[in-house]
Amino acid sequence: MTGSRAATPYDQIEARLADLATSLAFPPTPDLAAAVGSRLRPSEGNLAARPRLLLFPRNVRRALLLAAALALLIVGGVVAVRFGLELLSIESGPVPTAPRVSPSSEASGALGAGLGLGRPLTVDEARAAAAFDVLLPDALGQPDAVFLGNVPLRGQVAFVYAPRSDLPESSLLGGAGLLVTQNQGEPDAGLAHKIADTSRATVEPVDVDGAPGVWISGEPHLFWYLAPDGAFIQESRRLVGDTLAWERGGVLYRIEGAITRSSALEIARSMR
Amino acid sequence: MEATPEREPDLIERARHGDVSAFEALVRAHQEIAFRTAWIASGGGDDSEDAAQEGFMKAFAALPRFRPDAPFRPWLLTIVANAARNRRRSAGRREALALRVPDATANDLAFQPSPEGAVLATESRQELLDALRRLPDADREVISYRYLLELSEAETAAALGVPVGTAKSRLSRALNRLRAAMPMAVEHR
Repeated sequence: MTGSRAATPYDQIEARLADLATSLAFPPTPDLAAAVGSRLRPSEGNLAARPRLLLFPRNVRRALLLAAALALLIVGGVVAVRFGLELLSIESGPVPTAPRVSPSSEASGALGAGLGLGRPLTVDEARAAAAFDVLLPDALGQPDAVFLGNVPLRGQVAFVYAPRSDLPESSLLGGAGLLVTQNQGEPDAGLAHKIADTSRATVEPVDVDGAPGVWISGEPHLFWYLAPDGAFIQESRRLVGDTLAWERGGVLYRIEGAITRSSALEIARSMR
Repeated sequence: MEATPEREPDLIERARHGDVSAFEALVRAHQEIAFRTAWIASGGGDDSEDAAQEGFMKAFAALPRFRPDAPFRPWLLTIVANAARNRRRSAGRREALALRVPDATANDLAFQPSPEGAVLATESRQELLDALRRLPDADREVISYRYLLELSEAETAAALGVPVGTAKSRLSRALNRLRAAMPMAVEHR
């Protein structure tokens, strides 16, 4: 029998498998396009209906991301860079118009309320609610408004500062002077993504007391979050101005406002 | 693959910048092969649909890192199969590969020169299917990608998450074991 099997040519098995392929009853293919489309177009306020979080083995991807953190990917004329950041990717390209969230502090009357940052609360409440250590910039003192957002999924704490002599009013912040955000991220999907038109905006790596960071200035750029399952959180899409972003201990920090690079770095280094 | 009014590279470029409609068109074009790949990779798990959907979501998120000069389908299948494999451990109900109910109008009559031939062909297919089911999961997976889903060697390697050379040698060994799993060496009919 063994000899007979050995004599069976590969191509006979292959031919029979090819024949079998024509006769198989695969389960019917679901309408994935519609399902994926609806997940990528969440209606306002339906975050609770977002598909459940999935647990993925992250250690391998994390290692790969670390190794590739400084890699420069040239993608058909578009450059995506990580600048050593695990939680933020930056792509160079045309900035699409019509950001999802547009500042409208006038409409709500509250500082930062039009930025889609979540619900207002106090610093202490934010510290109690966040899954990470919330830092406060000593250089600025207590914020004028605090928000806790449910995107990304581990939560975002945002401090909003009213305009003052050292914090010029920013139209992109709905008239606020400065926005400081902090999030704990999900490296395998990338927590945050930016698109900057590098012909009109400058993107440069910076060091924040040993932590990797990036300073983006000039023309406003586009920002949005990715959920850990990889979905773009469309309602977080926002046009933002000059920004310092850096990462430390698995937390992504961002400072946005009409301030200089050195001022932003000074504020960043005062986070305690 | 369904015809799309727009070229795939154009759809990819639009989707890279967050155009959901463009990505939907990409999903529609590839959803059958992606779903079947997820179904194979998850071992016929009952959450293959979720796995395929998750794969597409991850692909959308990863599009900014996709090289436009690379072929899209293997890249997509890598992500989808990986998402499906991650679910394999916890998969609930499993569904085995099965033969279609014979369809008299189907073109596979070319393999069935007579009613007796049709019966023999069905028996032969069932025998092969049974042998496939007796193989280790890894063997069944590589054979299924290459022959039952008719993926290219590169796509088979992508779905397995291994280099092409590894996929080829894995396929060769799997075919050997499949031959050994057959009840009798089958002569040409």
